Amino acid sequence: MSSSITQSEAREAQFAAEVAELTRTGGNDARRALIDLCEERHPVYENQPASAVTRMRAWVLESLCRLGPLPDEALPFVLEELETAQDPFLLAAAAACLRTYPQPLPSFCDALSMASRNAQGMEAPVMLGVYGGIGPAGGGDTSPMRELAATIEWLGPNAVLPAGGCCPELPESIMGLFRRKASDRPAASRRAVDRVALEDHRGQIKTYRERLCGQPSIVAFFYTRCDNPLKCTLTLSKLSRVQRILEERGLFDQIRTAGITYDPAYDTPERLLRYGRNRGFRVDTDHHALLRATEEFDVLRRHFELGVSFFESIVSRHRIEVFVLDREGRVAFTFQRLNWSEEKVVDEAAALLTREQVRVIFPSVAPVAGFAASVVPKCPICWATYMSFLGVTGTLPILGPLALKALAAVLLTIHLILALWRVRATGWRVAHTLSLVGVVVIAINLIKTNADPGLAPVGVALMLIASILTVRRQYARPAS
Amino acid sequence: MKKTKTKAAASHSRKSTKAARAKVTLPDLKLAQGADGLRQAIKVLRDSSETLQRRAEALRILQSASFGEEEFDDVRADYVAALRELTGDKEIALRQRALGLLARSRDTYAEKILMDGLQDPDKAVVPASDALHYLSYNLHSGVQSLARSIFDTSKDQAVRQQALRLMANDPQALKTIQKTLADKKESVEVRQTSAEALHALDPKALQNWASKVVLDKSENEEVVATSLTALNHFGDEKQITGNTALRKRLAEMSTGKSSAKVKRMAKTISTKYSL
Repeated sequence: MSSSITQSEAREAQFAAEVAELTRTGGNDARRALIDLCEERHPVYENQPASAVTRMRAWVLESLCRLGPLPDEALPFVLEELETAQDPFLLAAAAACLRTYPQPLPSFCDALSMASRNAQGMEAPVMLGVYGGIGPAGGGDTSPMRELAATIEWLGPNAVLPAGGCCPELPESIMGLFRRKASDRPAASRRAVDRVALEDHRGQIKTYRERLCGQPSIVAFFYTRCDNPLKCTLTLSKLSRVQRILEERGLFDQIRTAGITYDPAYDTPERLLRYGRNRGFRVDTDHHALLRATEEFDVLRRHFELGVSFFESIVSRHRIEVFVLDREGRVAFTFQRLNWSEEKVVDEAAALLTREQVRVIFPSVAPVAGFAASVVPKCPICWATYMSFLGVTGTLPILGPLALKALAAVLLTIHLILALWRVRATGWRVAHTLSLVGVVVIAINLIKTNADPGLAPVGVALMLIASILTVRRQYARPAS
Repeated sequence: MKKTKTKAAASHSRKSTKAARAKVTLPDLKLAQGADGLRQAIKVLRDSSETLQRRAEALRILQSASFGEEEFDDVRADYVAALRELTGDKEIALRQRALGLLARSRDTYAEKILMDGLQDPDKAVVPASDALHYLSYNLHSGVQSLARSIFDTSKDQAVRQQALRLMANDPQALKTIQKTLADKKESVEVRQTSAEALHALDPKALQNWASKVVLDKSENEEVVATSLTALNHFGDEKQITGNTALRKRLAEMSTGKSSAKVKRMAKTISTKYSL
């Protein structure tokens, strides 16, 4: 019987052997290669079922530990597994791995206490040092609880929390690995993502640009079939808490929130709505939505550099990831892996709002200037030229609200009428035809939700050429 | 009143006799209290020279203790190890129980055994329909691709139905499900399971199919009844009330030669949507 499973089993066996070889070789290159393998989006995990990905990741962590002290870069992966793992082998491997970190930090308490809570119902025999973590006849020489107990012992006095206090935060150098600013991220293809159609929980489809541009947004990824209670279901509950904080701070209408599914083929609008409502997510305004990209999820995946892998159409592994987007829909801040603080996410979005309000004053001068210039009394040709100028200054491409669209429609109509008036005066139709084509192109851009953003400049260019040609013809003719 | 009382007393008496008989037949394992008793039970469970009844009773005790007893945490790893051993036991009843319990906790060892058995029947320790059922506890086990392949090749209707239930989680199986649903040569049971699967994957597609089936006079009555159930519970009011042909057909069904079940369903829908 030939199936994806047979192929994935063969690839898994090859992977196990290659990682074992890396461990034998040792050195910095091997360590680097193993750290790279901790990333969910590594191609080696593509089209592997969740159980295989779990075994593979546990094997990578075990192998990393055998290479010597655990480097800082690998620490996020180990702590993430301690907080969220649902598999005995993976949890035991992560607990054992943490003991190879150069020093027992008191800030490891949080992850270890979460792991201890999770491990209680997960206790099972585990054999470290064997691929798959299971010995002959299903036996083992250790277990998640035993490994956690050993790690807590290693932590020593640091494992004791101060009276009434909570675990200290990880050092900033390590926290930086979980929270990243946009400048650390390579630029993604903006134009492609702008056109991605996003269907919301009501079944309404709008483009990424329409949904997530114009205001800062907080975006979290999830899927309704996720069976890890410490991941998606918690993420969406926390996103609901984000909404409440926004409301308390009076930012509910100024900062958007969105939950986007990893599983667009299965998560229908009805499922998204039910899932969100059950977790307190508010979808009562256009600013807050649960979304799916039915056609171009891969474009979103590249834009956000999502840490997710799939087996056929089912998610096999994903990290926790929350993004703060600026008003242009670009990723400004990322929270990854560890359970994130709702307050901090809102702080980042609010800071962005303040920064952008200052910054936006300058760009807004351009359309105002264009509009002011166009209403100054001029000859009819100049009217048309200045109407075109309105487009050049960036007013048309940033039009979003209905009122601005209506204004654009009125101005374009005036432009056409004036151009037609010139035809009656001069009898020369070429410029008017060019203007007409330009207006049609811009109108398409205004009406169609997923139109090519490159259309607007083309329309403006045509109208400008028409105006210049009319003016040139006017001056070329001898004065009568 | 007197009759009712007598009936209740008779029923109670029957139940008591059954319970007493069950108590008599249950073996006494003579277990100690606390964790020691649980360890004794694990020993009985592992011992293949013990009778099936004693081992099954030990498993029941351990299973119930696993839900809440604090001392169970001390023996949980041993219990899982014992269950894993049982997956290769000579008694199929114990193999089935162990695999079912392990699969529910997403034990990768048990999942591997089940997957291997589905791919190579010589390695199978339980029937394929059971294996598919146990693997369905974990939709991330990767069994969906196997289920599609088994559905296409197996001739066992129970196995195919079980495979369909798994395919209900698999958007890649949508076309196969729709094709099966439309195929009048398929058994009624398989088509009914396909309808359930389609409802899970694409509820609107099921509604469209259900409307078509109701209009198709050559369709099997049981399949028509399934379609009527779908329209009754999940139907879109606007679509149903706006479909003149459907309304007419439902009226015919309510009064015509249809089976009592179909008539009843047609009347329910007509009343519900005021047709």
